[in-house]
Amino acid sequence: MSYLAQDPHSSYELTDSDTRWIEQMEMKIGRIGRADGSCQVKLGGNNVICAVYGPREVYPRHLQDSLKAIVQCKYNLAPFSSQERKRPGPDRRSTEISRILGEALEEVMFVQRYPKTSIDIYFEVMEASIGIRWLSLVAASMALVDAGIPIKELASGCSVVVDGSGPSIEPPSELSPEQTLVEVGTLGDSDKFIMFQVDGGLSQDDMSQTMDVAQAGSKMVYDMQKEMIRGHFAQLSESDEEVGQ
Amino acid sequence: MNGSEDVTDLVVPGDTLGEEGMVPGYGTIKRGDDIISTRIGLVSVRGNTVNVIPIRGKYLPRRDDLVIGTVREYSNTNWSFDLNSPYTAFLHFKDVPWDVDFGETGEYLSVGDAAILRITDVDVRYRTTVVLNGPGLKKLNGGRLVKINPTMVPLVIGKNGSMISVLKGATSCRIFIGQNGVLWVDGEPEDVDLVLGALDLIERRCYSKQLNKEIELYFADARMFH
Repeated sequence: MSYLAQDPHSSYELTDSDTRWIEQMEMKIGRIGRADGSCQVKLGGNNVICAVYGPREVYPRHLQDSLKAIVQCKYNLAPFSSQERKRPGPDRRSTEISRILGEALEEVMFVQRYPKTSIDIYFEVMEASIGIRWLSLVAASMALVDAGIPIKELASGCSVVVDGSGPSIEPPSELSPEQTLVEVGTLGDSDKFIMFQVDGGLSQDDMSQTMDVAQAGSKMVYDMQKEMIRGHFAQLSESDEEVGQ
Repeated sequence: MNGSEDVTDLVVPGDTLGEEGMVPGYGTIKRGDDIISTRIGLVSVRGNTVNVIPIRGKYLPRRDDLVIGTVREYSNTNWSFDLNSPYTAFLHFKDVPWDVDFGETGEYLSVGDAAILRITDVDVRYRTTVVLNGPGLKKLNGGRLVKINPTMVPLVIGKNGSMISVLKGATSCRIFIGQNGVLWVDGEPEDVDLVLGALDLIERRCYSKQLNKEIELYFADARMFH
């Protein structure tokens, strides 16, 4: 199964401290003119730019699938993105994240509508801190919208930190060894998870609670994504109005 | 509302559209009882069908579309055309208005040449066949090729061809619009530049409900400064 279905009867009530961080979140669509679609997302110590190209012809040709579009993701951490210099080029971590994001995004798109093509998604991480994976997913789904690729829903997500006092969706600046980081991606505001990554230990009791909290957080991010997309296109029309006059 | 079309607000993927009893059309899916948008675009209700007219996206070949293609490569019996789409179209050497012998394809259409083509067949995997022999189809000589967003083609044509009439009337240019978002514009260089400016304006002002008037104003202003 490609996603986990959550118990729809349980829900988590967001508090003010839960929602405060989202005001700092920045999303900008259309940052890369040459790409078919692009988006930049910033939050805390994270800054990621995503560019989408396609659907386009597949090179090398032997990779093409005659039944669906292939999704090719390339996640790259800039050498200056973290405190310690990261050696340029692909490594085990970026290969893994590329694959996870690719598989999550394939769930979002109608890949069967574009047989024999490739949808290429590039992530350039300018600043990396805790929770960069779900932010990359959010950036990619908005870039897909900008590229005009039909999707089932916007991919949303959030990170949850679990410690002795229970789960919290406020992104931490540092993670202590006792804390567990859970990064989730959801299909819009539905109860379907398309990405679920846990760094650390998580008990079974914490698990269901974490999923509740994650879903509430994702819903908040999802609403913001929609608002940003609408705002971007409305802004385009308004600024053009002045040009027209 | 039967027969007429009502174009309203901008929607984003995931938005719920329409009312009960409506049927999902282009750019939408049905999820439970709801009709959900799958693309960014403008909602259009025709009869009891809800469609989303996309404002972003690539061209997908459709049968009977008139398109402008440029030759990518050729073999002894075929040309392959770039249609500004993820898919390539093939033209057989017997489907042209000339009597082409085996191996002489390159003498008639070479790499980079453009032509107005009709799509005759598209299979489930988008293998596309085009022809060059038919009314209105021809090899294009001279003029300029312009690429626009394929989703903007209906706007450039306008209601009953109103917009294209404005463009042609104001500049005396010869214009052909391919359904794939490639335009051929031929005329005096100043006039062609004016048309390109107008096309740019149409793309940027696609939301405007008085687009025709704005384009007429654009040409009036441009003439004043010339």
